[in-house]
Amino acid sequence: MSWAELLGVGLMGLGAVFFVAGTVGILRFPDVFSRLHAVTKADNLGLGLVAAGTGIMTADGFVAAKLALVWLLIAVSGAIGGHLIARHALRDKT
Amino acid sequence: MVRVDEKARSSRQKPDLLPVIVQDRSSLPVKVGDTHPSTIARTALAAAVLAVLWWILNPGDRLSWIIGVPTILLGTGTVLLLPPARSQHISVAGSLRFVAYFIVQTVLGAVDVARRAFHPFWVQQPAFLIWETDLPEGPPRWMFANTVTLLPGTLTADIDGPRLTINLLDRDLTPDLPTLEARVRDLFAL
Amino acid sequence: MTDPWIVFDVTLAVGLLAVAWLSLASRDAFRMIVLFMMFGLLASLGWVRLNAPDVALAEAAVGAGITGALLLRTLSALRHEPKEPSTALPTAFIAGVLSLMITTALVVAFILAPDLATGYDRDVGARMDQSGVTNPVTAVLLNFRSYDTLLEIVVLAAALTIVLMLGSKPIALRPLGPLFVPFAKVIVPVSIIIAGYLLWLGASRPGGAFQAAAVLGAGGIVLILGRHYDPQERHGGMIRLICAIGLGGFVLAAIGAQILTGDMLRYPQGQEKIWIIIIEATLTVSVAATLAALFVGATRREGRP
Repeated sequence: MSWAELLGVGLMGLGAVFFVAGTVGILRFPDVFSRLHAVTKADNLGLGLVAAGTGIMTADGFVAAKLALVWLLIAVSGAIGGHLIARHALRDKT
Repeated sequence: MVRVDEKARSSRQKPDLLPVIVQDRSSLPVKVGDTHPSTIARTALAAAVLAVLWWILNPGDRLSWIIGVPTILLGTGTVLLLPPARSQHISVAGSLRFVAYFIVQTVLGAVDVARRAFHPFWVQQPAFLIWETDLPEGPPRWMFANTVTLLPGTLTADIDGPRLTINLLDRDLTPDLPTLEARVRDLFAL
Repeated sequence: MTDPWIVFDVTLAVGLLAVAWLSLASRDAFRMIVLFMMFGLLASLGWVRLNAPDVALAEAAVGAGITGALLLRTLSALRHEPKEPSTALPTAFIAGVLSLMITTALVVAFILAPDLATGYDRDVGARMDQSGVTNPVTAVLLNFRSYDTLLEIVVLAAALTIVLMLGSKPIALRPLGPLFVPFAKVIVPVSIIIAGYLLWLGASRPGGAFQAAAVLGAGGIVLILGRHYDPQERHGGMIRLICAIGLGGFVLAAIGAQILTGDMLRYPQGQEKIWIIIIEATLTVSVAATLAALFVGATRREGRP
């Protein structure tokens, strides 16, 4: 394996750990808000690491740009989705 | 299960030189003393950004513009359907500093939440915090509110004018919101 | 030597069955829908494993995404309706027998199928140069078997016609707060570009009109949810026209091809690609409008698509 492959696989593996952390968080955290913390933050970094790993392995600038776009869209949707769910939950409660 | 909803109030007031902003409905932006970019400028900017995007997706494929041009036109048209934002100056150096800060905080936030998720006996006491930001209405405040969600232990639950209701993963957390505000100010050269 | 992927495949297959069962056994409609969407995502992974990325894309976009959105929207309309009594035993019995018959027929067809390995690959491969495109799936859907695709569009148009005729509860939009505007500003134009990209990609790689339409329709739904665009108010008639143009255009293409080549849906030689692109582009816009219209529903009964 070349160093790029090693680094790529390493980053993807680390990303998977964060995805697992997000899922464990959803199952273990006490309320809807805490669960949102788990999904938005852990999954966002997890996807970022997986995208970075894939980008390093393909070693193509345009593919890397596409992956960056995918990550950016998910990050934006994740942050706003988390906020909207939290807002809804907060307003239902009060 | 521990469920603590405590409204810890920590607001602060600063002399504000910016105009008073009246806005409570997203679809009707009523702002005082703002300058909006002209429709032509918005159209040109949107078309340029979308064209770059198309080029990234279809590198070196000249025929693809057969579909690309109508697609970009449609995309530009929908941008005009959405209400314009106040034109905002963005500092290049500031945006680089912001990106660096953002990446570090995102990693810290994710590591923090992962540690809590995997910790065998972590008793969390979620709490709410009301934060009054002095960032101006528009992109700076949006940027602030969205970045808060990715910072360690904080989540923007509601936003009403300058008042943000922020959920804390644990009541012992002391989020460094002034630094984030400073970063956002640096980004927009305020 | 066993393929290490077998572990993944078996887990996926068991997961699919488990999620399908959980979804059917659930008593709570919301839970049922979420599990169904999860089933769609797992099924899409399954298609990836079967080397069918086209179907995987369609399954993820249409099966999990748009269908999920439509089901959730239906649920929100049903929330305030009186609860229906649970299905009577005879009905359940008949449904069970019919399902069993279909399953048996499928198993029999599977066993009796001549040679599973061949499929249509060779026949399609031999004629690929006549299709005008380089993606075999698009070649089949829009050239060799375009008649099937035409009928699919008929089904979709019929569904929308019924919704418009019956009229449905108008969607209740809740204010989404000031952060939704910047989100829409990023996501809507980008979703349009990605839809165009998927459409263009369909000619050579996995992608195509339906996947593009699902993404485009989703962008439209974001606009509608944020109250930035009210199709009923703005131009209901035009939207109906766009919904109809997919089917109408396809039929016109069929008639045109009949006149030009003497065969229905056989495109003139050398111009296949142009024909396919025009038909696909029309279908994308039209199907996207149809999906968004199904999501919004119709409040008034006047006017037909």
